[in-house]
Amino acid sequence: MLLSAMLRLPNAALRYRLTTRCVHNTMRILNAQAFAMPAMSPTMEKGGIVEWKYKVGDIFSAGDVLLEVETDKAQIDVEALDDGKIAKIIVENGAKDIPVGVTIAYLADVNDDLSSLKFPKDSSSIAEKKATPKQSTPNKGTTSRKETSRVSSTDSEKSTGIGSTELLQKANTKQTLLPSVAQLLASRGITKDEALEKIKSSGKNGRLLKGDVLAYFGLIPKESVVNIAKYIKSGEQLDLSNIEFKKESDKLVEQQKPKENAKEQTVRSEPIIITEQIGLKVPSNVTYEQLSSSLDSFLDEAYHFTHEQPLTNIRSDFYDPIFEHLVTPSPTEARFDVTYQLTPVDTELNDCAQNDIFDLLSASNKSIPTQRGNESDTETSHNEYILTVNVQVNEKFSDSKGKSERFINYLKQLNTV
Amino acid sequence: MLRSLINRRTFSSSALRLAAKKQHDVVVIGGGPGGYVAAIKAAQLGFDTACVEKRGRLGGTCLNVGCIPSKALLNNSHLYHQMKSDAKNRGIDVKGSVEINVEQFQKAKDTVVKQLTGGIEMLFKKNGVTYYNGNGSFEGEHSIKVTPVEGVEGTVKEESILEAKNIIVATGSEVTPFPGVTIDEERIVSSTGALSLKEIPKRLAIIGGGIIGLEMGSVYSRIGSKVTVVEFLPKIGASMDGEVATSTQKFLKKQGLDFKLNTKVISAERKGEVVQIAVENAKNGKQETIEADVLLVAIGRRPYVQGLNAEKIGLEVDKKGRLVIDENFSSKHSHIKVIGDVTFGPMLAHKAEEEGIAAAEILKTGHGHVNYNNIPSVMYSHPEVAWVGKTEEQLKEAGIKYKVGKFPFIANSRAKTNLDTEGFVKIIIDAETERLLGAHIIGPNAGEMIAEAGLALEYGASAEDVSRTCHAHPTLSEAFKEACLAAFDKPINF
Repeated sequence: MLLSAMLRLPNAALRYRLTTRCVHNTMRILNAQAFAMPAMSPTMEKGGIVEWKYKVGDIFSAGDVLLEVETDKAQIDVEALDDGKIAKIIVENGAKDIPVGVTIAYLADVNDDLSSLKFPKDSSSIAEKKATPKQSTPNKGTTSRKETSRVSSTDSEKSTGIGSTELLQKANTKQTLLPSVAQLLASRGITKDEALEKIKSSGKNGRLLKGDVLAYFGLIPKESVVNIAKYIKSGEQLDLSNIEFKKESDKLVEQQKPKENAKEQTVRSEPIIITEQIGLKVPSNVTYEQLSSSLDSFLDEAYHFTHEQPLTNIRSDFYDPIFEHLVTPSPTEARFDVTYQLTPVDTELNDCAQNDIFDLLSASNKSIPTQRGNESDTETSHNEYILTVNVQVNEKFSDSKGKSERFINYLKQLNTV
Repeated sequence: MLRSLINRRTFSSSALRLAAKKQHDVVVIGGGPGGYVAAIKAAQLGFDTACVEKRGRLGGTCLNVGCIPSKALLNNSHLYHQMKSDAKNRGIDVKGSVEINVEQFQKAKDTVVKQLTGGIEMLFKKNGVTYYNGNGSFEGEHSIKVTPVEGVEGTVKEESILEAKNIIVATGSEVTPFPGVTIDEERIVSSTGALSLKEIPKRLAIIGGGIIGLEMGSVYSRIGSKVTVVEFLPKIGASMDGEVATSTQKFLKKQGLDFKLNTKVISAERKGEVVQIAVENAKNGKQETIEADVLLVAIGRRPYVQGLNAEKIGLEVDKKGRLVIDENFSSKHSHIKVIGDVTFGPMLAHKAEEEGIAAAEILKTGHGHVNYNNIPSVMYSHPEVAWVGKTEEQLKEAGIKYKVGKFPFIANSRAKTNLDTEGFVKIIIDAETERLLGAHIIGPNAGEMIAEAGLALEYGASAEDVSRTCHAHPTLSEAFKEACLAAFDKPINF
């Protein structure tokens, strides 16, 4: 009986050999490898375990009969192709109607220490399990474990870089077969329904590809399907790894900045200039030179005052001169630059000048900025001048603006008009 | 005085009110192939959508100064060239001379561009997309300021603020300038200037042997220019398969283009009406000077974010100036998507379109998809060069075992009858599963034929699947089928 089955199914044996080889290769990476219920023929959907020929911990070598499997047609010996060790038996002797692909045991390498072995939770049989819900599952523990094993299986896949369960999925049963697939199935006498039920697909949306069928028939190694599917999948997304960010400090930022933007940029980075106009009423006997030289010294005084005195309230309990000295950046450096322009005002326009800034501005335009003297105007008791002060704030320091403003306020004392 | 002041104040506040905020679900910045497609798709998905474009015409680089006008020139220059050099063999005698009328030649191109860009405005109206003809810049994470653009016809009258729940940035790319070479668009031109030269240059030099350079080289070579292409790399054609690049160079050389590979441009200067280009052979250090009437700088394109004010909301930029995105096209703010040339991936109009659709769908449903394995490239020389999927070089690098099937057009009946037999179809498949990995075509109408390869790739077809699909006879596409046959079995007609 057994012999005849072996003779009748020479292809099945070959097929099986190829699948175990594939299993073996991944085993090296995973330590313990799930051993699934083998499909002894393309039509086999479930089988029983007659007897395990080895116990947990036993070492077997290539060619040894691992177990005897029972199908509806025959009892078949399952041989090991490589050396190994039984790590765990999940489905015991005598169990019947176990769907193909369900994990029935875990195998390990000959030298593996069983006590420290990690058991991957293989979920390769989920598809089958779901597809055959009617079948009574011999081992309820298997089912419930399967249900919860998705997450952990992806974990182990990630760590090993193998994602075969993600890449191979249950074939979409509503598909039109590709011509190559249809041809292959026909040549082997397998119906479409059967093929869609049994063959895992590596195509998009569960599309069965030629490679899937070739691998199923053992004409090409199973890894080649997974490998190419993985390679193709990796190219479907943009490669967004290793993005080198541009640094804020990069000069390039400035260069590549658009023209309009650059314009905005320059507006933003333009130095802050505070302009203040102060009206001065000066007795007519004071000459322009006298006034300007006294202004010079006054501005100098204001400049030094504002620089030397800290902005914070020095009488405050929180004021600590040593701390201030430490945190104030270069206290001796200039926080602003001052330029000024002293312009005599035509007295006749004075009245309106006081009221309307526009008139005042136009009046100041009329006058000559670098007038040497104003003696000619001495008939009136007072000469009026406009002092236009431009303070360019040094933006390097945070306290520059505050100090500049204080400087302006200091100058405002002069406002006598 | 007081009254006038008050008047002034009320005026400005009313102006403020006019610049009041407008609400939209989706605002797309950029009306190129990525942006306008995204806008239409978003509108079709039920969003209140607006599109901001500052060029004055929709369609972006592609329609205005890229793919479309260049193809008009390519097609017409090819016709001219055929009439001039080929008609006689085919039994067509032209009495009198065949001449190029540069003005009409350019006008034919401009007409097409006008029609197509105008067409998009119609599509916007049809789909209910609000079009703002102005510059869009970020004011905040959810607000876009639209400002009038000087000198652009039909630009918005005044500033306005668009409040948007979602924003799609599709600002595209611009010509990368060659360091030290000033483009005046007259004698030293970019691709934009090369599309509208007023006269046919006697000598045209091109820096860059990529697709843009080779296409423009083809155009002017056909209508009489002596073309020299200077390329720094040892091969032309950018990302082309190596074998295809070599063959391409061969046929272009036959057509009269001169190539200087491994050659570095040191400087290029306009001296009156000629341009002098100093080059150096990168291998032996030999220097020489090339003289040309026009120099085309075509070394590539770079992301364009001028006036976008992206830094205001802190959009991240990588070293090449691309806006940084994740796999869902999201910038660091998930409601701001970035697509097309301004971000990662190949700078191609059809790639931007795909991303535009996907981005709109992601906004609607949470998922959208672009298959970056399957983005075709076409060079519209004659014969055309088209490819999709992996090149041999890429597969070698990835360590994938592959098989190659090739079929020459000289063995294709239709190509034969057309007296147009230059080129071949090259199919690359996985050695084991025979799944199609790449297709590379040099040949008449290769750009159309590549669609078949794209479909096959998308569906995971094997070479056998293509070859078992009936192809009409006699067609050029039979060459594609035969190449697939050759890849996994044997061709019939070769």
